Amino acid sequence: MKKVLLLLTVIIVVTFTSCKKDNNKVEPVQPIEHRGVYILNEGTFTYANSSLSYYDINGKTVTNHMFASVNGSPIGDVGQSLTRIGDDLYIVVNNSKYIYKVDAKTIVYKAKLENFTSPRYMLPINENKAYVSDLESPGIWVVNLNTFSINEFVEIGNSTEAMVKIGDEVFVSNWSNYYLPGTSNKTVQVIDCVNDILVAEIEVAQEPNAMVVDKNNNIWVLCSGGYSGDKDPSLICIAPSTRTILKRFDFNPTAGDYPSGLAIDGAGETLYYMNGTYSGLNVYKMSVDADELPDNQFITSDGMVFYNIKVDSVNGDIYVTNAKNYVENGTVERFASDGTQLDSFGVGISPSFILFR
Amino acid sequence: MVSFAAMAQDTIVLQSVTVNAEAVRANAAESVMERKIDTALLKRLNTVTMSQLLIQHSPVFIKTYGPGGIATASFRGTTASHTLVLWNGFQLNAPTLGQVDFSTIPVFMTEQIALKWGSGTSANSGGLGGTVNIENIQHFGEGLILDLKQTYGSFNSFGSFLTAGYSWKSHLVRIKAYRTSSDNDFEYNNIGIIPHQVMKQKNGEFVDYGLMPEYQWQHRNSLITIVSWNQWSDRNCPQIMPNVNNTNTKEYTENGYSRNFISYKTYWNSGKLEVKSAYFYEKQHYFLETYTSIGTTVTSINSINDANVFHQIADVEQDLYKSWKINGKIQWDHEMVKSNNYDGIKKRDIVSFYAAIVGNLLNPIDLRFTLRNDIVDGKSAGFFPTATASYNCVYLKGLKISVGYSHNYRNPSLNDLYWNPGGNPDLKPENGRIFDGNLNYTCTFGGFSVESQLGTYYSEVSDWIQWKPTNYRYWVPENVATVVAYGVEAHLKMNYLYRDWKFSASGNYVYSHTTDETDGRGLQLIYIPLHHANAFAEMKWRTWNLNYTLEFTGERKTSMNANEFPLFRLYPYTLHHISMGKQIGKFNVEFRVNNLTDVDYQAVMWRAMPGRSFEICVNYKF
Repeated sequence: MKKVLLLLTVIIVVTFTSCKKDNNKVEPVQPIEHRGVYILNEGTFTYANSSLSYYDINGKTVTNHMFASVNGSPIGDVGQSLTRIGDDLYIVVNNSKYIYKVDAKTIVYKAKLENFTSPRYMLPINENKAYVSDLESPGIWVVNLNTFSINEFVEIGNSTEAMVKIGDEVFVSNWSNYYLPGTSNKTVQVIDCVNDILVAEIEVAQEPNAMVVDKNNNIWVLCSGGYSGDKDPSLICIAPSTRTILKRFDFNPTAGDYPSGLAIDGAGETLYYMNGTYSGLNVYKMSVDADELPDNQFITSDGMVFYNIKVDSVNGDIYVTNAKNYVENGTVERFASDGTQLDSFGVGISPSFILFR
Repeated sequence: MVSFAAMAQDTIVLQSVTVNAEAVRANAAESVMERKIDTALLKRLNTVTMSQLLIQHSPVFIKTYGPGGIATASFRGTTASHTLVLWNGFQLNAPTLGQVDFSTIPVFMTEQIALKWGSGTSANSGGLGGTVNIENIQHFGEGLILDLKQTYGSFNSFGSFLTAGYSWKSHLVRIKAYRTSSDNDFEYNNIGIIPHQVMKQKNGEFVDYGLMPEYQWQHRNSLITIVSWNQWSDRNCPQIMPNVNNTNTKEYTENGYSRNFISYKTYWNSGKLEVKSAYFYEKQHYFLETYTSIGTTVTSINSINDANVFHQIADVEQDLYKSWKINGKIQWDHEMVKSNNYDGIKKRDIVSFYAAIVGNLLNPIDLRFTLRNDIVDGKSAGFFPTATASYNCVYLKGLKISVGYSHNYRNPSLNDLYWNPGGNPDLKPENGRIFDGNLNYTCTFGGFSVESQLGTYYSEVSDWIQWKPTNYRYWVPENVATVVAYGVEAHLKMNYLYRDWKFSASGNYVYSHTTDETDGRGLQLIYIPLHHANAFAEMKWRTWNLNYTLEFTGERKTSMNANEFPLFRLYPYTLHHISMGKQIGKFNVEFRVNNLTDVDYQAVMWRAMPGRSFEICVNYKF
């Protein structure tokens, strides 16, 4: 018995000694030197495999998984958006409910701000404070940038999504009431960002998901129309000072139209958006002075799964992310301002947010 | 086949019933497609969950979220939805999700677990990978039944198990009751935050309890059985590693079910008839509460799914001529689900007609053919045949070679069809074609016995349902993929008796190559390891016993990328567990060490898993 026991012990100990490999090696990454584009890849919901890529426009090189390589830990679950303020890059991580602050050049971790409920976007108000919108909270978080802490939560009654700042006012869209039943999902609210108080409300159409500001300082609001029921997808132009709707272009809900991803060129003259059914979106181009929606697609998806769009304000190049099947690495497709494809580069899973640097 | 006259003389009728079943299974074409989990092992591991038992002692792969978390099973390179679980012949897969959480099935509630695959699953739809068959077995004429078990272990884990009853000559009452709970606050190395930090798991507490009264009455050639399996669980859901510092989220589930059936069996000289009826109720309640830092609850996801299922089964078996016999089954399942995630109450009726014929052709060849037709909501789902041939080698006794073909399908779950938003009522059923070959060899010499099995399979599932994110920002299931799975399963079991000593060893190795063939790239599906294995060794000497278990899980992918970034890979791991026990009169005391070498691992990405832990189990058996 003793011999057998001893043998067994030896076998166990020798053959299978505990192997505690730390697979999260920290690897040096070249600091960002040149003009380029940050790409935030959402990753798969609950998998915490969001990642950060950087594309060097001149060198045409891409570096993937920058955050994890530099810091040895994942970004978290569902990277939602990026905001650059000075030398810092803020990464809003939706389902991890926090915001990471990293060095914008080296991506080295600086701080983490936790305990949001479902943070979406961050908008700098001045050098001391920023607003953070939230899908599951009826208002806006006010963040102190000096201490990187939450100053207060401004209740405005609805969930908050896209934000644009014009003068001393922030226009925030109330995209979804999925988590806050009974609240509005068809308004843009106006906040006095000096005093952090709600001052006005403008009714648009159902589920306003994106906003941009044009050359005339008017706000364009893209409303997806909602995912079910009586859809009214629309592109709406608002005059911020009078809070009135200047133009309204209705999409065709019976054709399955579901527009998203509104972008504008550097001059503030041309709008770009994606539209189509849930199985495929194409890119459309429209002048801010146009009187009707364009009939023809500007860029055809051609089997690609377009997920978001941004325009390089310097040269007008169009960057469209391709999420493919959402469970493998996507790409960013680059197009010249006339719509011809330049090239494409590989990024992470579900590339969702583009930020030019 | 054992004649009924012989059975009637037997006082312990149910054992004869077992003998009867054995006699039917003596047809090799049937026996090659199944494996029973060793009953001695089941008794010893009575206090663990089915997920722990299967990952350590069967070829089934378990994907587990950790103690108190969801654990799903997959067979032969398929997924959890393709593993059908039958309890005394009734399907346990909830109509809502279509899967079974094996962490909610205590081994304690069963007396027999058999795994079936390939054409062995032909009597039901859904088991494209295989079926796990759980049975309750009672014995007449044994007098007082009293069995008490108490366990206590690391992380303040308790388990209490009571079996009590009385077994007369022709009546039997038995009740099983149990309660398990754990703080589940083990220490682990959190590599999802900056900097990495050793911390305790938070919000992982769980409590499960259950009650199963049984009654059985045997009169002449007939047997009536009534069983009611009731269970409740209240479990908190720990956050994934990067999210652990969120203090504003609380996630938990309150699930319960009541599974009840009555069955009437009658035997005659050349056959038997079983008519049974069941009513299953299952409640799944999921809660997600989010608080703002100013203290108010801003979100409360309160998802309630109530599933009611009625099953009616009539099953008849009749000897025909010589070794040939026929089996026919008619089944009607009525599913009714009320969920605040659906738009109204959703119902589904499935009527199934099944026939099987088994027999012997020339002496060494056993054959089995089956055919099933299912009517889903009045519409035929098609005809599904299977064929198996088995050759009993005449040159080497104990060697059986078999080949099988089966065609089966799986209905979309009601969540797939009706979840709001996303549910896709246009989904087609998944369609599977499976070829398998098996080699079984058993032999004994002296005190030595060997049982071995080598299985190989090839399956193709078309219209495979996958939930995909969409531009609408919610997921939609679609019949998108064609998945091809092939692989090898090897099983070996040895026993050796020498004087007061008994040695046994067993092991399973599985190679499962499962690829998505839709886009021609042929990448392995996520969370299906190419290799997994387990091994078990036991040594008994008089009243002492010593056990060792090894559990190996190969690397798993978490995305459909050819090359996974290192941080998002799930690396292979090997766990070792040992236990030592002693019988003292009517008491048995066992001491267990789980994860002996304190391996730090992840079974599901960013889910914390416990390191080394201890447990003591005291058992009193009258």
